[in-house]
Amino acid sequence: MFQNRTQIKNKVGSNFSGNIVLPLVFIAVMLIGALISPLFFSVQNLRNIIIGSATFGILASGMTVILIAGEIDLSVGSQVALTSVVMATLAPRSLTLAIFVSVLVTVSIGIVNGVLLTKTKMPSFVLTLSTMGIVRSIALVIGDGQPVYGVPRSYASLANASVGGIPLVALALVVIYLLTWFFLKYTTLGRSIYSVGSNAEAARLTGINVNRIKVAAYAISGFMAGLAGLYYTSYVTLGLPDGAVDYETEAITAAIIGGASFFGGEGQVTNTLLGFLIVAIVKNILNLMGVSPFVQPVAIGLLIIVAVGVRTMRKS
Amino acid sequence: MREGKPILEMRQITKSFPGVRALKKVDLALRAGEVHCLVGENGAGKSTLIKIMTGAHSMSSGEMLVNGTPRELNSPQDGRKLGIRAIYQELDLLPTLSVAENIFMEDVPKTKLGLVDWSTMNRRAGELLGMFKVEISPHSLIKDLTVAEQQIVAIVKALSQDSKVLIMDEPSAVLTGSELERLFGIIEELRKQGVAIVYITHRLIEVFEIGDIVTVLRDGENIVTERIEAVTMEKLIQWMVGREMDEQFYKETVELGDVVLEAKNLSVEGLVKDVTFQLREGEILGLAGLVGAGRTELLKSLFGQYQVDSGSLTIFGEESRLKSPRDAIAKGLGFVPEDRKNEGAVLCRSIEENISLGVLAKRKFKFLVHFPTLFKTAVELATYVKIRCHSLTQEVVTLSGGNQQKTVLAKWLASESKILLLDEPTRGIDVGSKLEFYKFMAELVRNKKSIILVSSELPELMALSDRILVMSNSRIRKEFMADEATQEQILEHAIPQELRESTSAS
Repeated sequence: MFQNRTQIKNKVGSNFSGNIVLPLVFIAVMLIGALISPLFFSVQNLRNIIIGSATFGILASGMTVILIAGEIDLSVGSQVALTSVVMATLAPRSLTLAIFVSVLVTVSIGIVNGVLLTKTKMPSFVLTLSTMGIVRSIALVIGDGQPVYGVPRSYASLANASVGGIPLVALALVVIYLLTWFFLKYTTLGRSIYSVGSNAEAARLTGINVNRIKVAAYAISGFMAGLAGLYYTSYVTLGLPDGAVDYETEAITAAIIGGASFFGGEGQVTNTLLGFLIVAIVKNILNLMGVSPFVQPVAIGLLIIVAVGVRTMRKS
Repeated sequence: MREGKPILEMRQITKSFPGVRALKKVDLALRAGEVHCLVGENGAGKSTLIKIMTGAHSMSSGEMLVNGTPRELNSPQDGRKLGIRAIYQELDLLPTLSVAENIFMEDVPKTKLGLVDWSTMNRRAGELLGMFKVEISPHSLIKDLTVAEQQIVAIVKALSQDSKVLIMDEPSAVLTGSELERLFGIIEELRKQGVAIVYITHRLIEVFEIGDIVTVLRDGENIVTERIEAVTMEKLIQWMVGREMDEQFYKETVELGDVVLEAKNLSVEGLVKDVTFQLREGEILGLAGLVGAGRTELLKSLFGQYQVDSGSLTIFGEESRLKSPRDAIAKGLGFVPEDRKNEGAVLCRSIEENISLGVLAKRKFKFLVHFPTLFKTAVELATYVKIRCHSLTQEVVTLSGGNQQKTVLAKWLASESKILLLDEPTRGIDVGSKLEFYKFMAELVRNKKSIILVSSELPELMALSDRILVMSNSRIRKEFMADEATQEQILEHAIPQELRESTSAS
């Protein structure tokens, strides 16, 4: 093959930087945190970062799966709110039942999303924009628009629980990300999700049932939304039908800063983890600096533009 | 072996799509160790036929026998289980995944626990690629490879499995020179192993190089199936177009005018090196060379797509520094790119809109778009270039390759381009449409347009051009008057120095 040298150079260059930039940014953000406030590296602050952001951290792993499949799921924030309402309503009767029903509900929503998508062939952005509203509405109707009390105190304290000084939810995040990584890298279903997102027609021609894979991806997204909702309920100690607003955009933010592509087929959940941590830390730093919450989205917006802009500029 | 029982037999295959009958009672028999060439114009039903063969499409009526037993294929998996595989024209690869994963997409090596066994997969992929003597890393992503490399991966992928019937849909459309020879070597090997091969091509010369038997499809019907020994090129073309074709090429001699474009020591870092040439009014200037020689890159730098680092470009007597295609268009240049589907036409929009783009590019309107002008231009030009369509509101994606190409050309005529850069304009276009295209090129130069033509088909390039520049390794190596050059002479200069040395050493 006659390939000129600059092309090869570029290729190596971009791959190399793609792997190294994200960890570097992560380290840089940590250093900035340390420079800005002595409080940053305190145990309490690090706990706060994780405990405060874990909900969208869990959502981001599910969102990565959906983005790799070449789709998007805007309904996950609403699903978190619905879960908290279901939990608060059912938990007084039986906690096990409440957890079971919550996850069943979100997985079902995921499956409905997937089936509607594959049957109607409508764009997933439009479809999940609709289900986002519908699911939110269901949560509001069940909770009558009000916070729902009734989450058992023992369950509510889980969000702050630690094992050997490490927040329980941090361990849970590690486990969730490890399992998702393993699932995407080593299982047939995981690889099929990449294939479908990369080139659906080619995947179909090699015998992959594209529709089934997409439904599965949405079911996984629903499952993750359920888990995120379970944690969220414990964290806010209530059922909040109008809670978790904009969580889907935060999940998308983490995934795309981590390098997931909107065109499908690309993305690493390990990088999403870094993306999530970077976003969480930046927010924390802004809080420590006393930056107004009204201005904070500016910083996150710039972060996305820089992170994704650098990557796309390199490609062209 | 040659006269043995067919591995695969298709009887009276009919396929109807809504409103069209794509195939009418087609018979076809494939035997082990035989290369069966399938030729026909675009839309003759070749693709439909092979999709039925592999199970990707179902047939409306007819029957298919595999080793003498009637089989019904409902999906590509069914076909694969019987050892029937296809390498499609639109490469069925996954661009964001690795070479190894693409090769083993259908049969992923697994560990005892049923998990993907990456190390085995990468090792075996490396071995298979090694058999092809290509330097492609199993870890590379498909989207980072050249089209030719992708084609090789697609072939390796098909060969990684045990295939009884292997269908190749126009592999030569993207391979050239040594790559094609390598492919023919592989086909020879497969023939010895007793694989039945279906080889689809538009380059009829290949039928005689590689085929044992040829079937001609026309308008969904099997016109003839004949052993190669009993076929001549003239007959083949006649069967394909359904009438006698006394000519393959068409060229008019036009009196050349002034120099319209002049490049002096033009260089683009890593892509074009020290290129100097002149183009005159009414001239067709051919660019010959292997894939990667820098021909496309040269066209793209003339069109302002690549920034020129040094040297000068004079267009219509004015020294021009083109910062973007927009500047080039303003100077009267038009570019018909090789990648028609991505760069040439806006497939999902109508013919009319595509042509209108040319008018808009010329910036005839200051503020508001005057739709009657747009429509009038589109109708005139579509008639002029003879686009075959139901109506101009038809989406370009529904047109055949030849008509898509005409649409792209009409767009540049709409922008009043005087210098047309054509990059492999006849690739994937059938014989009949090609001739029509050649005649059209003749008409363009008669009307004082100038053309720079890139084509990997040397006979075509030699027949159409007035002058030929041979490129290799991003440089112009030699200039010929078209009527003075021979294929051998051109190839001699097209093959890079280091490659010539390495082949003579081995």
